[in-house]
Amino acid sequence: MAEIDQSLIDAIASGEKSAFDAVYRSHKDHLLTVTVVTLGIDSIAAEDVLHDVFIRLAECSSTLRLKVSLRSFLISCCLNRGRDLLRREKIRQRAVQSRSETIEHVSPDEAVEQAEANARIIDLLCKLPAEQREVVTLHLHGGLTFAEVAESCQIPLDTAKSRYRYALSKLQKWWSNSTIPTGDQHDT
Amino acid sequence: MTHEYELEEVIKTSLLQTTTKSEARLSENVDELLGGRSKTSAKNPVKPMQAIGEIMQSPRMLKRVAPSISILVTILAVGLCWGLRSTVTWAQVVEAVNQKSWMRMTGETPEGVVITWSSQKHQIFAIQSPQRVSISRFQDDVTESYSPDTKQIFKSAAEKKSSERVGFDSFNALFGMLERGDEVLDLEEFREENSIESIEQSRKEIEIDSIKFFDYRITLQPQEEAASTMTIRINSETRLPNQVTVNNSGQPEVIFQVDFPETGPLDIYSMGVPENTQIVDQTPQGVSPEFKEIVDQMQAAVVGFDDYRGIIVLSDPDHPWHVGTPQIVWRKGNFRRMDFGFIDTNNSQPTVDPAADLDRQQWWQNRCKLLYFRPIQVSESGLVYSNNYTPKDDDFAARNSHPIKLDAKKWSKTQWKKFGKIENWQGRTSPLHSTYPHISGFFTNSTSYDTKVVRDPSDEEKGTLLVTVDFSSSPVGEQQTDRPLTMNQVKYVLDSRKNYAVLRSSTIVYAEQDGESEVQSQNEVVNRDFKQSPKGFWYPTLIINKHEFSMNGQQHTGENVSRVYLDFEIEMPDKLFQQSKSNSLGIPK
Repeated sequence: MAEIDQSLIDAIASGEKSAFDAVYRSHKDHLLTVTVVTLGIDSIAAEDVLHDVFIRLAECSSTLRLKVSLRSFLISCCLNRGRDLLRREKIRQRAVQSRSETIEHVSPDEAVEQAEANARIIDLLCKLPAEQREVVTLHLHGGLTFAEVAESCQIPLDTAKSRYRYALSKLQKWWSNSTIPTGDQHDT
Repeated sequence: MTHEYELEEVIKTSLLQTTTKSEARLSENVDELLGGRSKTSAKNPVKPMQAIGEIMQSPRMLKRVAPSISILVTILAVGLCWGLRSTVTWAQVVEAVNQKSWMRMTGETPEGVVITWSSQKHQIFAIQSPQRVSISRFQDDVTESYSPDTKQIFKSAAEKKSSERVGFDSFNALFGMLERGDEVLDLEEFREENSIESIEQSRKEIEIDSIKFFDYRITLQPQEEAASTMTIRINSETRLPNQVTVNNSGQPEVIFQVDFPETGPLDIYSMGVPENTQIVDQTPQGVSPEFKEIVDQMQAAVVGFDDYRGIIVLSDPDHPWHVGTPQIVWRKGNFRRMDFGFIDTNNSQPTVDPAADLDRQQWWQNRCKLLYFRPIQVSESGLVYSNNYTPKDDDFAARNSHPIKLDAKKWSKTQWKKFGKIENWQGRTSPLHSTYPHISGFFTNSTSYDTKVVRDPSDEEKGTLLVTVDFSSSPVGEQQTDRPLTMNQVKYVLDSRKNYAVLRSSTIVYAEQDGESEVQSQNEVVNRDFKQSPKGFWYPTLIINKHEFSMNGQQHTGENVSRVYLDFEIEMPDKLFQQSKSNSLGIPK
């Protein structure tokens, strides 16, 4: 997979727009979700983050040599860029925009159903303690292995796993009971 | 409560989507950046890997790409079921189709020749067309797909909701129902699963070259698809489908010829894909190639193992070999059966201590003739049926000391119920499942299993491997939400010189609460005294099972042994694996 990732980067470097499109379309929704859930910013701000990251990818593709998977690399870029923006521009955190506006290419019934399920699970994720939701979204939305998650969060591997398990246990209870917790969760 | 892996799937699919506005902005800006770099892009565009990747990942997209093919199998299954209802006996049709290893359908479509392959025996569904070659091996939970455009094989976990899976399962479910002999087939559930809303049918008899056929014309209205009319031609003599004509609204008529070859594609290369094609592995990651290799080897042993009938004698560890409770297990390809034998207190025959040099297998075969047997589970076509065998006033103590003595008159009549898929087969004492367990489940159901493989561990013999799997499991059931999260550790010691047979396995369950963890239960299985089957596969003839668990603050321990006697020469008629009402079927003569 790493070879394919690098060959796509090389193709972008040589001006292949179709390669760029392939990379963008393969990763955009995963990156958007990870950025929204991890940083707690709204999807409009997250789209700005993605825009900057992909522009930077196109600019630097000729010198880019991947040492990790492209997905992992792009997630790091998005989170770093998002954190930069949060620090420098002080993005005002807003409630997550209505996801139904962003869902396209599906029939109305499917869109409503999908939007409701998405909204519910994203809301639940956002109620988790920050360190737990970061691990869950990196692993499940970002597709990173636990080792990659640990490296990304700069925590030991066992900590990543235990955070994930505690988070999932909590989500399971909330999801089954249809109870969305209120207030900040402080337990780890 | 939702199972952990189901919740993981919900989260994975809860992706937000970028807006077209932001995509357009990015596209415009990138065009400017990339525009001047190369003039070759129009001539030699990189084929986006996303295109086929998306197909692999999205059942909805797959349905759009190949609507006529994906629904064809389903429709044919429905058509067979409804169309033949009033004319020939179901048993005849089922028997005719089941005797065939493969069913192949070949049709000339506007896009070129399309061939589909389906095999219940091999648990395979495959499609070959000019645009795409794909094969789903459901036993391995793997789908491989090749596109001549990308010249890559995309390998992924077989999607539970893919058209291939739904179509294939439909066949199995239908034939399962038919084989069970149901007078009224439960098609409501089937139609709902396949999103088919309305069905009409007509039939006429025709004769071609002095051969009589029945043409069944069936009109179906799949949800969100145009209505399809299919004409299924059945040979009145062989009872086999011969031709299927498909008319989809607004599309040219396609005629598929149906035949039943002895051989079919077992992998993607046998459908013309070059062997040196690059493979893009999209199966769940986090599992080492070494572990996958072990899983593949074990799976190969399960598939390749000889057919057998086994007498498995369950016994207490301090009992001699001739004292115990026999189970009889049959394996014939994908077919399975397990019967349970005990001493009927109404007609008990005393056991005579056998001579020391007696043929133990022969002795048990004779002994079985004196016992009362109940079939417990049968399986064919990938589905398992279970027989309720618990007596009305069940005596737990009598049922758990060997040999088991029970009053046969108190047992309920044989009553088969659908138990589930073959993966859930509970014939744990049968040597095949104890020796080559379905460990691929550790990485196909969830991403939260951690596996580790150690070759030649220091405290084991040379040539062995230690596989350790750590995973968590959550409480099950709405009433049990306050139970603690449990951490599980499963270990296998495998012998690489014996087809990776399990020599020893252990399962430890830790309960974790408030940061403290303690052993909740543990189980150890030791396989010993290995023999080789005629085809060269290894199996144990002695299985020792030890377990320990705590309940209500008390520690419980137990141990039993199973002695294994396999017969590889016995003939096994297919009716053995059907839901027979007879209790005596298959008992050694």
